[in-house]
Amino acid sequence: MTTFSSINDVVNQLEQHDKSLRIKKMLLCVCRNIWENDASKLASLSLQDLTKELCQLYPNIEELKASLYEVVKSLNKPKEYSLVANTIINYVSNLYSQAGDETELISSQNIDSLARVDEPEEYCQPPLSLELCDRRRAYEPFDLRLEVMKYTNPLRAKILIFSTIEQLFTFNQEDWLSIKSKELDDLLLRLFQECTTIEQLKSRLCETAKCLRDPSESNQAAGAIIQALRPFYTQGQGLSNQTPAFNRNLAESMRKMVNEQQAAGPMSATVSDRVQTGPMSATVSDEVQTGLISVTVIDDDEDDDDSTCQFLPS
Amino acid sequence: MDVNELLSRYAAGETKFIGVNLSRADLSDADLIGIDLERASLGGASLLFTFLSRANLSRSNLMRATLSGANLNQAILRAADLSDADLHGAMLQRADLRNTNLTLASLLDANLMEADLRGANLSGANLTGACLRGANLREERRIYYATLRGTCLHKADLRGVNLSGADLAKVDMSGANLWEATLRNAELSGANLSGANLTNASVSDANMRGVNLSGANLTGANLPRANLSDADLSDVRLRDASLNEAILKRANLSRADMTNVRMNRSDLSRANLRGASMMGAELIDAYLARADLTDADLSNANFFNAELSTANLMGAFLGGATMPDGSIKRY
Repeated sequence: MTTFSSINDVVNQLEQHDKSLRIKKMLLCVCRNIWENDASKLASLSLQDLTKELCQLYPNIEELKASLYEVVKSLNKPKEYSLVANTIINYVSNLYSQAGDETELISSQNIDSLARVDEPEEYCQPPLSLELCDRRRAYEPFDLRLEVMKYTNPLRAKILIFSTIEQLFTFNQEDWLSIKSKELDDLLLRLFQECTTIEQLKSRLCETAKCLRDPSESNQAAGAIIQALRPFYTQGQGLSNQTPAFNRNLAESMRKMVNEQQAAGPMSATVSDRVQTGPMSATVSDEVQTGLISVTVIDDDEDDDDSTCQFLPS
Repeated sequence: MDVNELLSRYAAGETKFIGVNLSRADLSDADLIGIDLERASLGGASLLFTFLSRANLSRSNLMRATLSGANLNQAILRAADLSDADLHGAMLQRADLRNTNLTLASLLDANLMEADLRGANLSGANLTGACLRGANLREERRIYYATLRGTCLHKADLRGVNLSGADLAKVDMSGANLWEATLRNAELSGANLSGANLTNASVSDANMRGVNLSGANLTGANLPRANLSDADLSDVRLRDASLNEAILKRANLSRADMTNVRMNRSDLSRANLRGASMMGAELIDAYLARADLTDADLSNANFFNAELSTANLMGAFLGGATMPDGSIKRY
């Protein structure tokens, strides 16, 4: 087992780096979606706070990498900033373990011990939300589908979700044709998008199960779906409070799904209408929109020219 | 024998119904756990949500049968004929499907975890969204040889599956999960792997001519000696991957993330590498005749002894790169 660096070591390394200003800009951008060029404002920010925030927002290194490279792509000095991104990854990766399937954050000791370090009060995070961030898992469609399939009948799960988010499945020819055109993971994603809290998910699935042909079998499927989706909700939260990378992934999945359904024909037109007009999707698209705001910034590093930098997180 | 007779005899404790004829029978929702239906004729039968776990259906005829949502966990289906059968959302966990005929069967969203598929014929079968983790599809001394010609594995979960030597030519594996899968010596020419996840997969010596890998994730994958001529690798993620001695003639690698990739002695002649990120890439002895490296980021890459004299380096960033003659570019 590797010995992992403490967060303080990593912060020291980043602070001493000759591109520490650019590092700070990048960290600020991936953490708070702000591109800051004002040197005095940047100086007032603590690298330690930003690093801590970064670790809390990105539970695994892959998500962090994706977010950093997206920011790099949107800048007018991608080559320079890709080196900065690599520097950040190289140092920060020491805070993530390689033991699991994915590189997960070694959250407990390092972050907790950091919380005890003396910090300027204005940057103290509310401890509850930090805890919730750490517990939430990023949405992973294959693992989710696997969990559902392990504990229930995939077709029962599909019928239950279809009946919850579309229309009650009546086992007629038309319903069979419709359900065969849908995939379990797309249905699961849409269910997750529509149910903003775990309580809502429970009540909607259980109510639907009662109306189906085999209520007890459907109830069993509901239990398995709820258990499988539970890790993706924070306490009482669905889509809100998700990391920018999470929302981007979700938005991408949604776009893909809607496109596929639009390509599939008249039935799917209804589906995409629902996706676009449903109350939950409005929230989703609002969140997505936030990530799409384009900000015009001037990169005023001492060695940079004053060219206009388009920052377009996608 | 009719359905009522079978159900009453089964309820009375009888389990052996070898060779019975129940063609087109409706046994939907029936509980027939552990029943022995070896060599039974069940062609066109309706077995929707039927409980058939641990049933023996070896050599049975289930052509065009409806087995949607059927529970066939640990069932024995050796050499059974399931051609054109509907297994939508069926449970086949740890089922024995050796030499089973699944030609044109629908296995949409089916659970095939740890199923034994050696020698199964999956030609033209639809396995969209199916979960095959731990399934056995291994080629074994040509006795068991899974056939996957024209199989649809779109978004299938094949994480860690061993597909060494499998014939997957022109197979649709778009969006599939092939994390840590083994595809050594596999025939993948013309296959569609766009958007697939091949993180840490072993794909050495595979024939991948003309494969579509656009947007796929091959982070840390092992592809030594793979033939990727004419492949579409646009926007692919090849970070930390190994492609030593790979053939990438005329491959499209535009905008690919090739950070720290190892491509020593590879053939990249006429390859399109426009806008690729190749920071820290190793290309010792690589052949880049007429390769297009326009706007590529080649910082800290190693081109020692590589053929770069006819490559297009317009707008490429070479800071810290080791050039073919061993000199290091400062800018």
